[in-house]
Amino acid sequence: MTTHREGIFIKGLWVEKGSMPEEVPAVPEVGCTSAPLLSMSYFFSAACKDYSEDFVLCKKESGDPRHCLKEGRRVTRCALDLIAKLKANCDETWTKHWECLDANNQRLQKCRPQERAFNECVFTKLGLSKSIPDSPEGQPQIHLKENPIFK
Amino acid sequence: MLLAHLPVITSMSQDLPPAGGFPETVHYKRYLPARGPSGAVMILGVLGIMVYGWNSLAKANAENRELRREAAWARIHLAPMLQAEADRDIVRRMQQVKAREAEIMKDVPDWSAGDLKAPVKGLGKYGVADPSQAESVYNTQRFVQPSFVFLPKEAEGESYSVLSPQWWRGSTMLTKNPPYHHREDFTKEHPLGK
Repeated sequence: MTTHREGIFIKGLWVEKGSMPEEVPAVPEVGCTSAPLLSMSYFFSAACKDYSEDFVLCKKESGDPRHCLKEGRRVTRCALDLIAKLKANCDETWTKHWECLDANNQRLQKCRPQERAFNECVFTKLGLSKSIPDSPEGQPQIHLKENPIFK
Repeated sequence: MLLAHLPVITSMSQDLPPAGGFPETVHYKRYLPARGPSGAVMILGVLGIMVYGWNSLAKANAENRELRREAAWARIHLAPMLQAEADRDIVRRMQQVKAREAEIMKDVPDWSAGDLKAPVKGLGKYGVADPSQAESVYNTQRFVQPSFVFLPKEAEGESYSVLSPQWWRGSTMLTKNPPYHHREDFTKEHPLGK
Protein backbone atom coordinates (compact mmCIF):
# COMPACT_ATOMS: atom_id res chain seq x y z
CA MET A 1 0.00 0.00 0.00
CA THR A 2 2.45 2.59 1.12
CA THR A 3 5.48 1.49 -0.83
CA HIS A 4 5.89 1.36 -4.55
CA ARG A 5 6.19 -2.03 -6.13
CA GLU A 6 9.59 -3.65 -5.82
CA GLY A 7 11.21 -4.15 -9.17
CA ILE A 8 10.98 -7.77 -10.22
CA PHE A 9 14.04 -8.92 -12.07
CA ILE A 10 14.83 -12.50 -12.91
CA LYS A 11 18.53 -11.87 -12.57
CA GLY A 12 18.41 -10.15 -9.20
CA LEU A 13 17.60 -6.89 -7.43
CA TRP A 14 17.95 -3.51 -9.09
CA VAL A 15 20.46 -1.48 -7.13
CA GLU A 16 20.63 2.18 -8.09
CA LYS A 17 23.90 3.77 -7.06
CA GLY A 18 23.20 7.37 -8.00
CA SER A 19 22.04 9.80 -5.33
CA MET A 20 19.35 12.46 -5.29
CA PRO A 21 20.09 15.66 -7.24
CA GLU A 22 21.96 18.38 -5.39
CA GLU A 23 19.06 20.82 -5.21
CA VAL A 24 16.95 18.41 -3.16
CA PRO A 25 17.81 18.82 0.53
CA ALA A 26 19.21 15.65 2.03
CA VAL A 27 17.29 13.92 4.78
CA PRO A 28 18.37 10.66 6.41
CA GLU A 29 16.22 7.56 6.43
CA VAL A 30 14.36 6.70 9.62
CA GLY A 31 16.21 3.41 9.79
CA CYS A 32 14.05 1.63 12.38
CA THR A 33 12.81 -1.89 11.86
CA SER A 34 9.13 -2.69 12.07
CA ALA A 35 8.96 -3.51 15.78
CA PRO A 36 10.24 -0.14 17.11
CA LEU A 37 8.04 1.61 14.56
CA LEU A 38 4.99 -0.33 15.67
CA SER A 39 5.88 0.40 19.28
CA MET A 40 6.08 4.16 18.74
CA SER A 41 3.35 4.38 16.09
CA TYR A 42 0.66 6.00 18.25
CA PHE A 43 3.13 8.53 19.67
CA PHE A 44 4.29 9.35 16.17
CA SER A 45 0.72 10.09 15.18
CA ALA A 46 0.28 12.28 18.24
CA ALA A 47 3.56 14.15 17.82
CA CYS A 48 3.60 14.58 14.01
CA LYS A 49 -0.09 14.86 13.27
CA ASP A 50 0.15 18.21 11.46
CA TYR A 51 2.99 17.14 9.18
CA SER A 52 1.40 13.76 8.42
CA GLU A 53 -1.94 15.31 7.56
CA ASP A 54 -0.21 17.87 5.36
CA PHE A 55 1.59 15.10 3.55
CA VAL A 56 -1.53 13.00 3.06
CA LEU A 57 -3.48 15.98 1.73
CA CYS A 58 -0.62 16.71 -0.64
CA LYS A 59 -0.62 13.09 -1.81
CA LYS A 60 -4.31 13.39 -2.47
CA GLU A 61 -3.63 16.28 -4.81
CA SER A 62 -1.34 14.29 -7.05
CA GLY A 63 -0.01 10.76 -7.25
CA ASP A 64 3.30 12.00 -8.60
CA PRO A 65 6.04 11.09 -6.09
CA ARG A 66 7.88 14.31 -6.98
CA HIS A 67 4.90 16.41 -5.93
CA CYS A 68 5.19 15.91 -2.15
CA LEU A 69 8.92 15.66 -1.53
CA LYS A 70 8.95 18.74 0.69
CA GLU A 71 6.06 17.56 2.86
CA GLY A 72 7.60 14.10 2.99
CA ARG A 73 10.89 15.49 4.27
CA ARG A 74 9.02 17.29 7.02
CA VAL A 75 7.31 14.04 8.05
CA THR A 76 10.62 12.22 8.11
CA ARG A 77 12.35 14.96 10.09
CA CYS A 78 9.52 14.95 12.62
CA ALA A 79 9.82 11.17 12.94
CA LEU A 80 13.57 11.42 13.40
CA ASP A 81 13.09 14.09 16.04
CA LEU A 82 10.60 11.91 17.90
CA ILE A 83 12.90 8.90 17.72
CA ALA A 84 15.78 10.96 19.11
CA LYS A 85 13.55 12.15 21.95
CA LEU A 86 12.39 8.62 22.73
CA LYS A 87 15.97 7.41 22.70
CA ALA A 88 16.98 10.18 25.05
CA ASN A 89 14.11 9.80 27.51
CA CYS A 90 12.59 6.30 27.37
CA ASP A 91 15.28 4.20 25.76
CA GLU A 92 15.06 1.36 28.25
CA THR A 93 11.28 0.92 28.31
CA TRP A 94 11.05 1.40 24.55
CA THR A 95 13.70 -1.24 23.91
CA LYS A 96 11.97 -3.66 26.26
CA HIS A 97 8.65 -3.16 24.51
CA TRP A 98 9.85 -3.57 20.95
CA GLU A 99 12.03 -6.53 21.82
CA CYS A 100 8.96 -8.15 23.34
CA LEU A 101 7.00 -7.37 20.16
CA ASP A 102 9.78 -8.89 18.09
CA ALA A 103 9.68 -12.04 20.18
CA ASN A 104 5.87 -12.32 20.03
CA ASN A 105 5.14 -12.00 16.32
CA GLN A 106 4.37 -8.29 16.85
CA ARG A 107 1.14 -9.02 18.69
CA LEU A 108 0.46 -6.01 20.88
CA GLN A 109 -1.68 -7.99 23.35
CA LYS A 110 1.35 -10.11 24.28
CA CYS A 111 3.36 -7.14 25.58
CA ARG A 112 0.94 -5.15 27.73
CA PRO A 113 3.15 -4.85 30.86
CA GLN A 114 6.08 -3.51 28.80
CA GLU A 115 3.74 -1.27 26.85
CA ARG A 116 2.26 0.16 30.05
CA ALA A 117 5.72 1.07 31.33
CA PHE A 118 6.68 2.62 27.98
CA ASN A 119 3.42 4.58 27.66
CA GLU A 120 3.78 5.90 31.18
CA CYS A 121 7.36 6.98 30.54
CA VAL A 122 6.43 8.75 27.30
CA PHE A 123 3.50 10.46 28.97
CA THR A 124 5.55 11.76 31.90
CA LYS A 125 8.59 12.78 29.85
CA LEU A 126 7.12 13.90 26.52
CA GLY A 127 3.45 14.41 27.32
CA LEU A 128 2.24 12.12 24.54
CA SER A 129 -0.48 9.57 25.12
CA LYS A 130 -1.81 6.69 23.09
CA SER A 131 -5.42 6.84 21.98
CA ILE A 132 -6.99 4.54 19.41
CA PRO A 133 -9.42 6.37 17.13
CA ASP A 134 -13.10 5.34 17.09
CA SER A 135 -12.86 3.15 20.18
CA PRO A 136 -16.22 2.08 21.62
CA GLU A 137 -17.53 4.58 24.14
CA GLY A 138 -18.10 3.83 27.79
CA GLN A 139 -15.34 1.27 28.15
CA PRO A 140 -11.56 1.45 28.50
CA GLN A 141 -9.45 1.29 25.37
CA ILE A 142 -8.11 -2.12 24.55
CA HIS A 143 -4.56 -1.40 25.76
CA LEU A 144 -5.95 -0.22 29.13
CA LYS A 145 -8.33 -3.17 29.69
CA GLU A 146 -7.96 -4.69 33.16
CA ASN A 147 -8.60 -8.39 32.50
CA PRO A 148 -8.21 -9.02 28.80
CA ILE A 149 -9.31 -12.36 27.35
CA PHE A 150 -6.42 -12.48 24.89
CA LYS A 151 -3.03 -12.00 26.49
CA MET B 1 -76.27 -78.43 0.42
CA LEU B 2 -72.71 -77.10 0.44
CA LEU B 3 -72.47 -76.30 4.21
CA ALA B 4 -73.92 -79.53 5.37
CA HIS B 5 -70.57 -80.95 6.56
CA LEU B 6 -69.76 -77.98 9.02
CA PRO B 7 -70.54 -78.33 12.78
CA VAL B 8 -73.48 -76.38 13.96
CA ILE B 9 -72.56 -73.80 16.77
CA THR B 10 -75.26 -73.57 19.32
CA SER B 11 -73.61 -71.31 22.05
CA MET B 12 -70.42 -68.98 22.36
CA SER B 13 -68.33 -68.51 25.54
CA GLN B 14 -66.55 -65.01 25.62
CA ASP B 15 -63.09 -64.47 27.28
CA LEU B 16 -63.80 -62.38 30.38
CA PRO B 17 -62.01 -61.38 33.66
CA PRO B 18 -62.58 -63.73 36.52
CA ALA B 19 -65.64 -63.14 38.57
CA GLY B 20 -64.86 -60.54 41.32
CA GLY B 21 -62.08 -58.92 39.29
CA PHE B 22 -58.33 -59.60 38.99
CA PRO B 23 -56.35 -60.10 42.21
CA GLU B 24 -54.41 -57.09 43.62
CA THR B 25 -51.03 -58.79 43.04
CA VAL B 26 -51.08 -58.13 39.30
CA HIS B 27 -49.30 -54.74 38.67
CA TYR B 28 -50.70 -53.43 35.49
CA LYS B 29 -50.20 -49.67 36.15
CA ARG B 30 -47.02 -47.84 34.88
CA TYR B 31 -44.40 -47.42 37.60
CA LEU B 32 -41.75 -44.83 36.55
CA PRO B 33 -40.13 -43.12 39.53
CA ALA B 34 -38.62 -39.59 38.86
CA ARG B 35 -34.86 -39.95 38.29
CA GLY B 36 -32.46 -36.98 38.09
CA PRO B 37 -33.47 -33.36 37.54
CA SER B 38 -36.72 -32.58 35.90
CA GLY B 39 -37.05 -31.61 32.28
CA ALA B 40 -37.69 -27.98 33.09
CA VAL B 41 -34.50 -27.82 35.16
CA MET B 42 -32.50 -29.45 32.39
CA ILE B 43 -33.87 -27.07 29.75
CA LEU B 44 -33.10 -24.11 31.98
CA GLY B 45 -29.61 -25.50 32.68
CA VAL B 46 -28.82 -25.96 29.00
CA LEU B 47 -30.19 -22.51 28.32
CA GLY B 48 -27.92 -21.11 31.04
CA ILE B 49 -24.86 -22.82 29.59
CA MET B 50 -25.74 -21.51 26.15
CA VAL B 51 -26.24 -17.95 27.38
CA TYR B 52 -22.90 -18.06 29.19
CA GLY B 53 -21.11 -19.50 26.16
CA TRP B 54 -22.58 -17.10 23.64
CA ASN B 55 -21.89 -14.20 25.96
CA SER B 56 -18.25 -15.25 26.31
CA LEU B 57 -17.97 -15.61 22.56
CA ALA B 58 -19.45 -12.17 21.97
CA LYS B 59 -17.05 -10.62 24.47
CA ALA B 60 -14.06 -12.39 22.92
CA ASN B 61 -15.12 -11.31 19.44
CA ALA B 62 -15.46 -7.71 20.59
CA GLU B 63 -12.01 -7.80 22.17
CA ASN B 64 -10.49 -9.44 19.12
CA ARG B 65 -12.03 -6.76 16.94
CA GLU B 66 -10.49 -4.07 19.13
CA LEU B 67 -7.07 -5.74 18.94
CA ARG B 68 -7.27 -5.84 15.17
CA ARG B 69 -8.35 -2.21 15.06
CA GLU B 70 -5.43 -1.29 17.28
CA ALA B 71 -2.95 -3.02 14.97
CA ALA B 72 -4.59 -1.52 11.88
CA TRP B 73 -4.45 2.02 13.26
CA ALA B 74 -0.81 1.55 14.26
CA ARG B 75 -0.06 0.81 10.63
CA ILE B 76 -2.25 3.64 9.33
CA HIS B 77 -0.42 6.13 11.56
CA LEU B 78 2.92 5.01 10.12
CA ALA B 79 1.77 5.19 6.50
CA PRO B 80 2.79 8.83 5.75
CA MET B 81 6.30 8.26 7.06
CA LEU B 82 6.79 5.07 5.04
CA GLN B 83 5.25 6.65 1.96
CA ALA B 84 7.58 9.65 2.22
CA GLU B 85 10.62 7.39 2.25
CA ALA B 86 9.33 5.27 -0.61
CA ASP B 87 8.60 8.40 -2.67
CA ARG B 88 12.12 9.73 -2.22
CA ASP B 89 13.52 6.38 -3.30
CA ILE B 90 11.39 6.11 -6.42
CA VAL B 91 12.15 9.72 -7.40
CA ARG B 92 15.87 9.03 -7.09
CA ARG B 93 15.60 5.85 -9.17
CA MET B 94 13.47 7.38 -11.90
CA GLN B 95 15.89 10.31 -12.16
CA GLN B 96 18.72 7.89 -12.89
CA VAL B 97 16.59 5.97 -15.38
CA LYS B 98 15.70 9.24 -17.10
CA ALA B 99 19.36 10.29 -17.30
CA ARG B 100 20.30 6.96 -18.86
CA GLU B 101 17.43 7.15 -21.34
CA ALA B 102 18.41 10.69 -22.32
CA GLU B 103 21.97 9.52 -22.94
CA ILE B 104 20.81 6.65 -25.16
CA MET B 105 18.28 8.75 -27.10
CA LYS B 106 20.39 11.93 -27.41
CA ASP B 107 20.50 11.69 -31.22
CA VAL B 108 16.74 11.47 -31.61
CA PRO B 109 15.21 14.93 -31.97
CA ASP B 110 12.19 15.88 -29.86
CA TRP B 111 12.60 12.93 -27.53
CA SER B 112 11.55 13.71 -23.99
CA ALA B 113 13.25 11.16 -21.78
CA GLY B 114 11.40 9.55 -18.90
CA ASP B 115 8.08 11.06 -19.94
CA LEU B 116 5.37 8.46 -20.43
CA LYS B 117 2.79 11.09 -21.33
CA ALA B 118 4.90 12.68 -24.06
CA PRO B 119 2.96 13.28 -27.28
CA VAL B 120 3.54 10.61 -29.91
CA LYS B 121 4.01 11.84 -33.44
CA GLY B 122 1.42 10.39 -35.82
CA LEU B 123 -1.10 9.62 -33.12
CA GLY B 124 -4.14 11.84 -33.44
CA LYS B 125 -7.14 12.55 -31.24
CA TYR B 126 -9.40 9.58 -30.51
CA GLY B 127 -6.64 7.20 -31.54
CA VAL B 128 -6.64 7.99 -35.25
CA ALA B 129 -3.42 7.65 -37.23
CA ASP B 130 -2.61 11.12 -38.48
CA PRO B 131 0.93 12.27 -39.30
CA SER B 132 0.02 15.90 -38.67
CA GLN B 133 -1.07 15.32 -35.08
CA ALA B 134 0.79 14.39 -31.90
CA GLU B 135 -1.15 13.16 -28.87
CA SER B 136 -0.22 11.34 -25.69
CA VAL B 137 -1.16 7.68 -25.45
CA TYR B 138 -2.66 8.39 -22.01
CA ASN B 139 -5.96 10.21 -21.87
CA THR B 140 -5.59 11.32 -18.25
CA GLN B 141 -4.53 14.34 -16.23
CA ARG B 142 -3.19 12.13 -13.44
CA PHE B 143 0.36 10.95 -12.88
CA VAL B 144 1.20 7.68 -14.62
CA GLN B 145 3.54 5.39 -12.74
CA PRO B 146 5.86 3.52 -15.08
CA SER B 147 5.35 -0.23 -15.00
CA PHE B 148 8.54 -1.14 -16.83
CA VAL B 149 12.08 0.08 -16.43
CA PHE B 150 14.72 -0.52 -19.06
CA LEU B 151 18.11 -1.45 -17.66
CA PRO B 152 20.85 -1.67 -20.27
CA LYS B 153 23.25 -4.55 -20.05
CA GLU B 154 25.29 -4.27 -16.91
CA ALA B 155 28.75 -2.85 -17.51
CA GLU B 156 31.75 -1.75 -15.48
CA GLY B 157 31.38 1.70 -13.99
CA GLU B 158 27.64 1.81 -14.62
CA SER B 159 25.51 3.78 -12.21
CA TYR B 160 23.36 0.78 -11.35
CA SER B 161 23.88 -2.89 -10.69
CA VAL B 162 21.76 -5.96 -10.29
CA LEU B 163 22.20 -7.76 -7.02
CA SER B 164 22.50 -11.53 -7.20
CA PRO B 165 19.19 -13.31 -6.69
CA GLN B 166 20.93 -15.11 -3.87
CA TRP B 167 20.33 -11.94 -1.87
CA TRP B 168 16.56 -12.33 -1.87
CA ARG B 169 15.97 -15.89 -2.90
CA GLY B 170 17.73 -17.16 0.19
CA SER B 171 18.58 -20.60 -1.08
CA THR B 172 21.75 -21.50 -2.92
CA MET B 173 20.24 -24.65 -4.35
CA LEU B 174 19.17 -23.28 -7.74
CA THR B 175 22.31 -21.18 -8.23
CA LYS B 176 24.83 -23.81 -7.21
CA ASN B 177 23.02 -26.89 -8.49
CA PRO B 178 20.76 -25.70 -11.30
CA PRO B 179 18.50 -28.03 -13.27
CA TYR B 180 20.42 -29.67 -16.13
CA HIS B 181 18.71 -27.60 -18.83
CA HIS B 182 19.96 -24.41 -17.14
CA ARG B 183 23.57 -25.51 -17.00
CA GLU B 184 26.27 -23.96 -19.10
CA ASP B 185 27.29 -27.15 -20.85
CA PHE B 186 23.73 -28.15 -21.79
CA THR B 187 23.26 -29.01 -25.47
CA LYS B 188 20.57 -30.96 -27.25
CA GLU B 189 23.05 -33.59 -28.33
CA HIS B 190 24.55 -33.95 -24.87
CA PRO B 191 21.80 -32.98 -22.40
CA LEU B 192 23.81 -34.12 -19.40
CA GLY B 193 27.05 -32.46 -20.50
CA LYS B 194 30.03 -34.11 -22.06
